[in-house]
Amino acid sequence: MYKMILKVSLGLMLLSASWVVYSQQPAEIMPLADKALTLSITKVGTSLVMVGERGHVLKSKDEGKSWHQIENIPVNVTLTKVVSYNNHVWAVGHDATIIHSNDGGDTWELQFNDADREVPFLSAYFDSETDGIVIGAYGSIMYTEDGGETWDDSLIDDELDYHLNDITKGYDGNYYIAAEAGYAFKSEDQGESWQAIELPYMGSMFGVVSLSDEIVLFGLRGNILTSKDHGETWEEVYTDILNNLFGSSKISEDSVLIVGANGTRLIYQKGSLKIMEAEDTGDDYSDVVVNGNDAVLVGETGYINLPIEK
Amino acid sequence: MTTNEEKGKFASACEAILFANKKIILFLLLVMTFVMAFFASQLKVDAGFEKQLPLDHEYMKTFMEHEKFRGANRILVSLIDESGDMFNEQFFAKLEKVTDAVIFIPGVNRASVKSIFTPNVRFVEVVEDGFAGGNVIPADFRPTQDMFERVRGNIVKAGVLGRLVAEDFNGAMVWADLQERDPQTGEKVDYQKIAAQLEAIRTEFESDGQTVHIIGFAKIIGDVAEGAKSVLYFFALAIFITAVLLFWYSKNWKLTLFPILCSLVAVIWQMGSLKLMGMGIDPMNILTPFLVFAIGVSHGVQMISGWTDQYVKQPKDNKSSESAAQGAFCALLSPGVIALLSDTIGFATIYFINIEIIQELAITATVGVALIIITNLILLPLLLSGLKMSNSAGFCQKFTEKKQSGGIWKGIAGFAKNPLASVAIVVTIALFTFGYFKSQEMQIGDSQAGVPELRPESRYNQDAITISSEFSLGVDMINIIAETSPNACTESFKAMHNIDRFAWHMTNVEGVQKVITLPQFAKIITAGWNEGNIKWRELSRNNYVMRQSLSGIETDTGLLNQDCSVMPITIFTEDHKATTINTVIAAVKAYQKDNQPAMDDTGELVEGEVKFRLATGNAGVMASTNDVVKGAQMPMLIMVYGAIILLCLITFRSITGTISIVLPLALVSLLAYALMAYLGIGLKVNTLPVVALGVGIGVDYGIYIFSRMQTLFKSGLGLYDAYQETLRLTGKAVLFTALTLGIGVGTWIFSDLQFQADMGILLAFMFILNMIGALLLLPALAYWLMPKYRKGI
Repeated sequence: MYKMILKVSLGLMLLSASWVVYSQQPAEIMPLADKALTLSITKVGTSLVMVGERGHVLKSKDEGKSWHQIENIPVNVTLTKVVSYNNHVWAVGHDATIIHSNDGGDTWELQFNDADREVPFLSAYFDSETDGIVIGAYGSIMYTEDGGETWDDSLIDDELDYHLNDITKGYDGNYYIAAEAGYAFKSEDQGESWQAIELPYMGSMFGVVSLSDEIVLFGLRGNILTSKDHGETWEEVYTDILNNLFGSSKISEDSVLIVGANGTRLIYQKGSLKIMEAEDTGDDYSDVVVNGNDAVLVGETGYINLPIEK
Repeated sequence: MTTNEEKGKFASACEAILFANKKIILFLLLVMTFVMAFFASQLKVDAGFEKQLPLDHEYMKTFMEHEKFRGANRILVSLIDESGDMFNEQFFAKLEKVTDAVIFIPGVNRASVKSIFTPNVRFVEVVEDGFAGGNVIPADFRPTQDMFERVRGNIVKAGVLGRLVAEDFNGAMVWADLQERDPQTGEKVDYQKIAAQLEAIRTEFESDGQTVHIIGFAKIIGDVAEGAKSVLYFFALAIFITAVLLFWYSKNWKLTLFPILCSLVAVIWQMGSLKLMGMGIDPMNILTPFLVFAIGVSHGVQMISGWTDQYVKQPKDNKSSESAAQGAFCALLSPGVIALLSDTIGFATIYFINIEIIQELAITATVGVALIIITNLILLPLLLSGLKMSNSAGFCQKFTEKKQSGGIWKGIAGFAKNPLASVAIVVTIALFTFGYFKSQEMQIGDSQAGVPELRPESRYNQDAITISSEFSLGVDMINIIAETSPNACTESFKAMHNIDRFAWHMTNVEGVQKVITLPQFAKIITAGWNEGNIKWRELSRNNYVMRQSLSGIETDTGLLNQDCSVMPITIFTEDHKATTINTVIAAVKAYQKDNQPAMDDTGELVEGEVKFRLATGNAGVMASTNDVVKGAQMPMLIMVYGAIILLCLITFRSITGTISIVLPLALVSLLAYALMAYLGIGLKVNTLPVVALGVGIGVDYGIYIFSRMQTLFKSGLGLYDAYQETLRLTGKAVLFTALTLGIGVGTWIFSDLQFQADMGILLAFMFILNMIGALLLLPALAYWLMPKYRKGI
């Protein structure tokens, strides 16, 4: 209930806010950057790139065993998602930030930034070196067809201003967005138009992943939903965990490693779940990359290398 | 020469007045002693935290201004379950009781008490329609397995793992901050009482599988005061040893008793004066009375030697104690007064160090030494004058026999000429060089994890090790106080961002384990308002969101003040070694320098600007104390030496003579620092004055010896002969005093208190080395510096 009140009030605040121009400061190089809050990780060629708070961007050339922080990142805001296509890498984050690298993550430029709108971007998907979609809070959605040189600034729905948490392209060629408060969105036309999907579970979904023949959504308090009919109907996968699920990485075409709060790690495969015992630290994991039998997990204390099943 | 005659006249005049009114004076002194003994018996142990603070120091201004965020005078009581798992009924029952017991200790700031049972420790949990928070121990707590699982989860969510709960869940801790004054009565808290109550908590709850570990300033004071009781036994032992050796030396039990008695009278007067000045005695200051006793004995031995010499010299059929006493008084009044005055002035200069406990020591020592002028230069000769020798012929016999066996003295006298004089100079130069380099290694502050005043194997230090190994955080911390505009935490993104950036910089400093500050919580709560989505862990630029985020954070969390214009950044360090603290302080200063807050025309901070001020917290206090101690060391020595040099110049009217007296002292001071470095004794508030006090002991030797030599020079003797003659009487007394007192304080190494053991070693070292310096180096320097007296060699 509080949340509803908050959102209404937030809307009012946004309208009445005085516009101040915030100048972005570059990220600082710090020894413990690889132990700070890290939110997203992705493969870029044979390397790995991860991003997180304070504009931290780090790169690893040894499958996540050691990391070095990239210099001259133009922003110091929290970066929430990193995605790549070939040698192109985009990272998005708070203050409506989009930064881009065309050399596998070694040098970066600012593509978009608008602190005044007080909207964090939360995820992105690129289907080629040129075509991409960035999504964020309050229904924000941005399109580019030139690799991010220019952005088409939009909202997903005139009525619904829910947070858009994650986006992916499904096995069926449709785009799926995991959103807030029991909503998801689907586009059958490469994002031209979106239809809202009301989910059987009222809570938010933080991630979406496509397997060989199903779309999997996961999110608040251990909830996992799957659909094998292009989002028409959704089935709840029973879990007895109450932790939020934040990120995933496919192990194979029909199995996925999902990670979340308090050290949660589970493998979903064809309707069944395997839950791994949490490490003692109980850290929140926000994302993961699977590499053979190993996984690199990122979260509130940086990264950790763990075998997939342990 | 006129001055000397005048001095002689002055001494004679004193002698005349004194001895004529002997009975009245003795009676008055006796009454005085009884009165003072009465007051001395009322003297209380008086320990305090604030009096250890260098209040003039920049950090301590912050400390005094922000009382709420001091966190330095903290007690930590931890309960550890021996099974390695705290989740059992008995443990929780005990922890709750321990928490209550700590809350009800008088002097504890009740709002500051934190444990998983106190309501100021909360957790945040995300649920479908927002997020919920609650106490770590739910209201419906029952000791069931399910509930234990819930509590375990709450502990993690509350972020107190490693702080209030041991990392591997085998124990938990209660924190409490002490107030120096009871807020209701305004009375100073009694640290020993608090320590006793803490010990009672241990006694009550340490059994059946749980152990209790307690650390904190109050407990240190309690344990030191407890150990200080044994200090008295060691004093008694040292006095006994002195008495035995003195009897062997003086061959007469009355001559043994009188100087000891007079020195004790000085101590009684000293303690009585403290009471009259409204002071107590600090446990850390308990060695000063012994020091006064030692200096008293040193002068007393000179007096009885002088008396014996006069007495033996008198014609066989006309022995008079009174005239012997008068003779000794006249001969020793001048060097005795000079020596004691330079001690007095020297110790008084220590008062300029603005740390109350050191000032107390300065007063205690100054008063004590000044009183020795009365007890050992007036009372003692008066007592001696009434001495009745039962077997005077036998007594004199012993001394005339002894006089012939002077081989060792001849050897020592050799230092007043070459080749030994040159050897002594060469060795001195070598020692100066060695001492200089070795003393550079001396640590400022603590070098160990526990406290250096207590034995490493003491319960306290063992507890400190247990707590720091089970709990990674919470023991050693530096609070940096961020000052900004009112309501900054909800109205100024920029201010919060600045604080957050500073905290992150500090997190990256070597030796820092964790940094805790409000913006971090604001981030986590912002994520909480967004269903716990970790991607929202960022400071919001929206004032409404900021207010919403922080509405649930009370001031009792210690993260902010009432109007949120002050927020501490708590830096938990790995330990409180001086090197660790220095690294953090240097990092803070570097940050301050690079990020100076912008001010407007009126000198107010511009919106969003933040002033980061050093420092509170126990390690913050140590940092300022280390700073002051380090800075005070040199000025203190300069003042002490300045006083001595000035008095020597006035008295002896000889620059070369003054150098001959002072240089050996300086060498011993330097070597004492080298010894401290070698033994790993750090320079801190409690050890800072010891070297200055050592100078006070040593200067007596030099002044007595040089004064005697100068008198002999004037009677026409050359250096070597004069020195040989000086050794016979004064030198022997110096040698004897130093050895006696050295052995006496040497026994302290067996004390329960590491502090007393350390002081015992240092004082013994200084007693003996000062003696060696006065006996061997002083004549060698005189040989080289005063060639005109080299005749007759």
